[in-house]
Amino acid sequence: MGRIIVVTCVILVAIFMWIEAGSYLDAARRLPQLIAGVVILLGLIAIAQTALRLVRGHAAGEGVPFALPDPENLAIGLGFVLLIAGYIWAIPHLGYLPATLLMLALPLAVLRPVGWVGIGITILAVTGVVWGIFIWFLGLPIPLFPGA
Amino acid sequence: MTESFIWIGLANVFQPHNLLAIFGGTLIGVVIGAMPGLSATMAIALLLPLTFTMEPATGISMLASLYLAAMYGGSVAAILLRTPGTPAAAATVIDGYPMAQRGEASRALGLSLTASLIGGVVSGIVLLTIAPLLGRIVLNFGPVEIAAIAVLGITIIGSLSQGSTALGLLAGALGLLLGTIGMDPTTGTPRFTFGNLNLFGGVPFTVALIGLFSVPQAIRLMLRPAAGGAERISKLGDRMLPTFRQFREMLPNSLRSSVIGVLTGLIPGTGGDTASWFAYNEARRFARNKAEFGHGAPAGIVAPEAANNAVVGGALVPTIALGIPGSSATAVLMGGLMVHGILPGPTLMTDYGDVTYTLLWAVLFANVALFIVGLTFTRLCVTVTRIPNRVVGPVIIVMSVIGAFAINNSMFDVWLMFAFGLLGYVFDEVGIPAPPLVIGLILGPVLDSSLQQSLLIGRGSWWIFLESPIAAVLLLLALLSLLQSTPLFPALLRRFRKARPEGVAGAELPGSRE
Repeated sequence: MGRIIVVTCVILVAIFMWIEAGSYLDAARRLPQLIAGVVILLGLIAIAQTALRLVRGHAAGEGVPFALPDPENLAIGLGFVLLIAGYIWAIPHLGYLPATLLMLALPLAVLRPVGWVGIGITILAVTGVVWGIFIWFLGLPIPLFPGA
Repeated sequence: MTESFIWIGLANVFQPHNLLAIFGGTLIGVVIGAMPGLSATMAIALLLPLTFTMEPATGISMLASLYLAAMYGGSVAAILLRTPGTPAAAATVIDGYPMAQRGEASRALGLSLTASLIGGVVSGIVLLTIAPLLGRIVLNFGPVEIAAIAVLGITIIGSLSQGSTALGLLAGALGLLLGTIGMDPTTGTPRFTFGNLNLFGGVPFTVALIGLFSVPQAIRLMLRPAAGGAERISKLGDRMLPTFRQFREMLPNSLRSSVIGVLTGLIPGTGGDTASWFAYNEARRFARNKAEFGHGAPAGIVAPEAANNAVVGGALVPTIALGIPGSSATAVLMGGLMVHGILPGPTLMTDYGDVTYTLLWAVLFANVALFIVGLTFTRLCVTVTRIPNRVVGPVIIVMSVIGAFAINNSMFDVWLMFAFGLLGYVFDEVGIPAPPLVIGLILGPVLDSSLQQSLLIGRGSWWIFLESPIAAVLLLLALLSLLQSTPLFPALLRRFRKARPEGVAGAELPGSRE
């Protein structure tokens, strides 16, 4: 069922892009409209295939088409995704180094896959490697500290 | 004359400072290649100023070694973390990571190293022997032929997604569609940019690649605690290099993939990223047990790794013989030659024969250096598999974020990487394969520009593609490749071979669950 929802979203995106491309010059619209048409067609085929399989599975008495994920995994997964978004947001606001320290320290402190010494070593090693290669060697112009 | 240059070049390579430069370039290349987001091109560009003070032969040898080593380095992160270090290592993820999960990380890295050595040596020999001849063949490849190559590349998607062809093709077509974002190459019309300047240059496929592979992997690692996981941990002392029997078995695949790599590298606009998919597809096509692919098949590691290292020599052929860079990395390398007052082109092998042949020998010897450096470096890297998953997850994110930023020094790219990461995760969860999306993103811009140029040449007529014999043959191959992935082809084949037994079902790509 999830696949049908995702493929439907892909089809909607393709329809939007097909319509949007309609306002471009002939040469600029040719390929996007052609590919958008192919995406829509393939999406419909994929939906039909999945629906057919679901119907057959239902008729054969196979399991439920949509199973809820494990609540703990769901919480960890969502939390981690939000943490990544927060990390990316924090880089220009807090600075790269404090944001990276938090990105590493928070999940390690909450989930405790290793002890505090391990957490400390991980943070130091990763920050050191990233700083050495990307900041010192490559000289990336990323703000390291707040207001930098 | 040429013969004397060959010996001068060989003698030059054995100079201690040149050997040191080759080893130094190799070491830096492996480390940079293993970092997601850092490409060989970027590393060459950054090291270029360092070579200004060196002798031309030394500086160029160092840069060429770095280029070759970065191609291999990309596979280290691909195998151990499911995060390709370079776009050329994307195909290695498909079988490399499952192999590492089985506790065979050392073997996977050893296969990758050996295949890289074979690919590099083959391309080095090609460079030393038939570079000028191949250079002239490249002149026959114009936009029409390149468009046909792009179409052939796209048809790989179909055969890669056997078992879920419609979903694979859908993901590939979506990649192509996303590849059209940005300025139209002929009219300059901004497409799907919605006024955002960051999108005018299109979707950087390296950014998309990092997101599609790294973020879903990091999330998955957080969900599965190491203690409860079914994965086996690789040991530092595990055998890395293949046995003689295994080597003999992998040799035909390595050589075939090396030839694919050299040929793909020859054609401007296509590089290691395209070659590795071509080679993977051919390895799968030739394999007796296709079902093994996607689940840790050694041939699935050997093929892309031999091909992407062979690309180096292939891409250097037009650069040296014609002055036309075969890839972005060789374009930067060409800049390095020009800085030293050496103008690449047809006279390079005669006017600057000593430097050119030193470079060619350096490419060959860089493979030996890579093998030595690789054996020590990768053995240490295997320790990554001993680190708990929930430690590796946040580390992957930190590396991916800085890697995505490093490409254009843009926070927009980092958000784009995150968005692709979420898309990749959702696709994985519902069984839509992500690798075809990457192929679409790689080939989309190539197809876009070459198709438009071809139609301009043909004054809007699509027959232009059949008027070129090379393009016509490539398109015929594309048609056959597409037919092979449909149920129609096996049915036709069965009709012709009446007594044929039931074939083995096609493998699915990771993430594609039917």
